[in-house]
Amino acid sequence: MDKETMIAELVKMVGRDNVLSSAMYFKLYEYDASLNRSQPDCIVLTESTEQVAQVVKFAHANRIPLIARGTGTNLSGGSVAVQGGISLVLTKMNKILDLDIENQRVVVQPGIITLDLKNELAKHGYLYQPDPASEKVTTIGGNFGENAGGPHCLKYGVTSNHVLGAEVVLDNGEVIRVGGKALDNPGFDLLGILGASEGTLGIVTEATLRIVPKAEAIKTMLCIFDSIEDGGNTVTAIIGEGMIPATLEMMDNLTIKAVEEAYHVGFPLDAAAILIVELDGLKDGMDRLTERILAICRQHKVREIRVAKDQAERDKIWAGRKGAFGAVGRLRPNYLVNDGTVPRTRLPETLAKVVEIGKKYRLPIANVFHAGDGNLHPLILFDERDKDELARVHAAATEIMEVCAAMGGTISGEHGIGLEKMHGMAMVFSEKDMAAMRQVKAAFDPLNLLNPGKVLPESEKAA
Amino acid sequence: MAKQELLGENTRENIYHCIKCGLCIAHCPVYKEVLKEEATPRGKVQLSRHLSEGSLELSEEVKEAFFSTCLLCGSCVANCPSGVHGDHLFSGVRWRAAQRYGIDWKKRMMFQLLASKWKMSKSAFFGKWARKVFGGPWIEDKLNAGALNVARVPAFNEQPFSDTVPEVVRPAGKVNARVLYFHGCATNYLYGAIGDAVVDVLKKMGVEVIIPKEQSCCGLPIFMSGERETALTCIRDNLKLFARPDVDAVVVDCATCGAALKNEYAHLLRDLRQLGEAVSDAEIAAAELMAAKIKDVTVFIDEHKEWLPQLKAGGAKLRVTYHDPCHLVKGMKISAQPRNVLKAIPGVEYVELPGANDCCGGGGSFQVEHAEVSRKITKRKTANIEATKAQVLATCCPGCNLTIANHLDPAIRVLHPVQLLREALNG
Repeated sequence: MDKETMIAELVKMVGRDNVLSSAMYFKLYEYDASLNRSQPDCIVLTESTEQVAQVVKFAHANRIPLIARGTGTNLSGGSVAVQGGISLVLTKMNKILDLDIENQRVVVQPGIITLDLKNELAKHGYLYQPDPASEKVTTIGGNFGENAGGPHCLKYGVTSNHVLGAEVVLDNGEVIRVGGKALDNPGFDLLGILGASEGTLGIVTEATLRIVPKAEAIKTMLCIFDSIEDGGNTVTAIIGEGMIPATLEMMDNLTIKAVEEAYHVGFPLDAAAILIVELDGLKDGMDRLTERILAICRQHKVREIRVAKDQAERDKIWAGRKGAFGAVGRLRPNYLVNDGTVPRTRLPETLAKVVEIGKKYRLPIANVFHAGDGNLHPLILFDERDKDELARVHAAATEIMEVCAAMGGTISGEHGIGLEKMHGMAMVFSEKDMAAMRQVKAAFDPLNLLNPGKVLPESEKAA
Repeated sequence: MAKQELLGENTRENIYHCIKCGLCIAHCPVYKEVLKEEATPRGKVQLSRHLSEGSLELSEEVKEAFFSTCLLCGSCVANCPSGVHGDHLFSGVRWRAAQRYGIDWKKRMMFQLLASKWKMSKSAFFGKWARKVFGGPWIEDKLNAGALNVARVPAFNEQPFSDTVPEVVRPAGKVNARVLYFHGCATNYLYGAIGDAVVDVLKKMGVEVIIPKEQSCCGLPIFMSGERETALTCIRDNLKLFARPDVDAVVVDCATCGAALKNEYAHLLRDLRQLGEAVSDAEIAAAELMAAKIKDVTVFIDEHKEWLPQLKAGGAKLRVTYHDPCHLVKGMKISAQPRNVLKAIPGVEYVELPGANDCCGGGGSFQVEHAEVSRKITKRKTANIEATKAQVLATCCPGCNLTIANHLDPAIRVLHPVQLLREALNG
């Protein structure tokens, strides 16, 4: 189908204002927060499930690749249209459809910004737990598609643990419902398959989420260490004693420096590591628990502990953590972030290897990690204008994935495979494992039109 | 040089430091209404990059994106973790776009008048003349006033403020300090009462106030609209008058003028020099000297509050809230001092405004040209103000004042904090 006809047809479905196709718009929707760029042939904004279904049906009938996106903050190239086609933008579908406090559920459209939803829930004393660092921009649709994590996932689980139901537009434009407000739905767990499927199986147009009352009390502690090992051992000891704080977040010295420059939160510039421990729950017992944590920190040679006195101090600490990725942009123009996960106890060992890799490839690496989950975020810093450096970056990133896999971990904890980590899939899955996944993909999207070229590498036979 | 460079070197580096994380999007008042990528600061940084590298042509559509989906409020700059100066990029692109496509003739004429107004201001009738000229085609024609309700735009001063005050105002007794006073165009032509209040309060604090008659527009609305050549005239005129080592401070009563004088002059001069304009080292040094002395008038008062005479407590308390102008809170990082001034007034019951530092949606001529988006942003602001049940909204920017007062419940007065202070001093 020629482009003119395609655009004319799409305009009929969603209106002229919602179909974008010009050199400028192709540039505006060619990227996400990763290093990848590729232009779609056309950008379509939809305002309802019916419109999504119509557009998807049209793409299916005409064999046009289609990729759904929200605000485009993906860190693995998941929102980039590598095979062109239609970029389906869901930012206008940003409404709360049903706020059901009694049943502790909220039904939302996929384009709602995670923090906007949380702010609305806060008015009622409620909370949606997942908190990806980019929550003030990311959308729920993307969070579910990538199965986003965040600091509080240590205690509360990742996005898919909080999505209980969804309305999904299938590859041919049919609309189905999976799950719902009730727990424990019979039949196949399609919701389980859709979470983290990165837009390759269907398009979520409505999600039912679990919400919980806000915790009665919160304690946020900033623990400052003179060595990363002491910080890491503290994490292991806290969990070893049977405590699961809401968060156990760590940052290394390079990150601390960048964050301090950007946010002036008062992190000491000479600290080797800081650990952010947050407890939440009932008021009763909170002080006793805090004391136990502080005692463990002291046993592991903590240099200093600061307990946030109020919400303002707490916000400041978290602003530093949540802005950490952006802040390293001050050190070098670009970064590539890995998000491999290893068994928690092997974190110090893995980190030592990451440092070695940085030395080997002559690249600065800043580290932020969800320490409690053993989820690393080595940020490899560079300048993409230096082609030699860029090649070393990709080699280093691959080696870090190999290390994570060798430690008994995996190559991605929460940012998705997308494009950037596709070549690492074979490090953690056998050809048979991937063949099983390809069968799932073929069952949902036999024509391979939904976000093609992502997650699953071509099979050896096909390649 | 075969091809004309789009951006000066120190501005251009910004495009490479945007890591596309998108955190700016959360702080952009325009994006919240438009929901498309061209409205995001990130998107415009990326477009700037393509334009600069030659992989995208400057088109009418690109021009439109840079003019119609950005208030140049600086929220993205203040919140960018990588420290990217989107504002410098965007005004640079606007300049090139204006060179190629021109800007609206009414705007151009207004800017040229602001830049050379001193030829006019000798006439005490300038205000009325301006109303006649702009009142016709621009302001009074309701179709052209965009989001502004013409009936509620304040009348021009009978006389320009600068014609109503002597060039030097000396306090009665001991002289505590000597300052230059930069009153913006808004005070000069619309809000003479703010100027009167600034002079009166400073005088009562024992401050000698010099008000150079020949001062020009700060240039910000002009260069932000892409008219850099015209802006350069303003910058040079102002540097001659205000880059003086022999004063303690240069006080400003307008957040926008203050941000321009403090943050933009030296940067812009350097940029223009790199792009081929004849700019001397002495001019850059003068801009830096002046920048170091620029103080919002509320900051100056707060720093020297011991010079204030005893404030009289009035009868009933006046409930007052405060709106942070973008160019003050994000541009100059000032939020505490104006509040301190308000809280120091015994007759004031201060109440904090929810979303106090959210943009008012005005953005100078933005509200005239892009009424729909502007109106939505302003509505959030006025709803928050009305919910505080305040009797007075105080703010340090006549631009915000104009926008907010135009849409707010008329029972709520909109004043500069210094006006309230003056009322308290005079009982």
